[in-house]
Amino acid sequence: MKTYLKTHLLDFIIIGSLLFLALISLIIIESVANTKSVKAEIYLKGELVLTIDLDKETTEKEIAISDNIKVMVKKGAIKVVENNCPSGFCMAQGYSSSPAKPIICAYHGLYIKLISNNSSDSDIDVVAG
Amino acid sequence: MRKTRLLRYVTLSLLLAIAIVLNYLESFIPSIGIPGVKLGLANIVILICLYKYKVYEALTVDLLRVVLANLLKGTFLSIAFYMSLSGAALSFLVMFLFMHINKLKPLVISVIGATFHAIGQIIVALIILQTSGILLYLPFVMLASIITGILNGIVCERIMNIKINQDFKNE
Repeated sequence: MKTYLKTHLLDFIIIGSLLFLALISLIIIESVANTKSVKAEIYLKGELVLTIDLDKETTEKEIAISDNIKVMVKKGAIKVVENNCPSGFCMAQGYSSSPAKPIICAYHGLYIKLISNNSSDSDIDVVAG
Repeated sequence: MRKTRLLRYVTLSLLLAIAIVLNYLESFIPSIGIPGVKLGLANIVILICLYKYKVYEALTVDLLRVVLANLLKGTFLSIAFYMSLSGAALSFLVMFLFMHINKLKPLVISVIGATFHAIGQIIVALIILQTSGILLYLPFVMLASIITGILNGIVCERIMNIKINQDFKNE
């Protein structure tokens, strides 16, 4: 009988490399995750539809983005509260307050980009810190 | 000969049915930590097919699984379907290549498959949203894929070591 339980060094090297790659990227992202957001740019299908100054928000406020999508904003944070997409992952994400944690709904092409004072124009500059 | 072929197709159909049911059932399991991350239990079946059957048969099971599971969930031809299809296709291709380049154990192939499934989905999301911000999700999803890949790989290895399944690969 052929056994599939024998482990080789190469097995450890491959899993170890993938794990190392994921952890290093995660550490870099988490290092910028504490940066507070001051602005939220809301894109629908690649088009900027709304920019919200999160620093100026003092109370929780609901804003309609389209017929199907509503967001809730408070000081420094934003979340999706209404969306008719089948998965509802964007709503499950809850409040996001870090540029390293954008809110995305692929179903509607929704992308909420959070910007801090330190962020430059490029999207992935936040990854590089 | 005819009986063997019949048995082969019946077994493949059963494996496909198991993959669809696992795919459907895991949509009821809430995501832990990262929204949208699933266990990928159907990959256990695809891995078994890759090891025990011919490559075109395993690919057929994989693609039919994606189509039928999405039909069942009512997401056929939606963005979720294309993301699922791209993830499944990329993961199958990479698993097949690694299986033949090096004789790696199923656990490693499972981890590679899960990781590339996530990468395939991120690529489609990147094309749809046309924003590089989606790449920020990659490390989180990759880490979750490695964990689920290890779990699925362990289950797969245990199943393949049970001497009840006929090996159809060389028939």
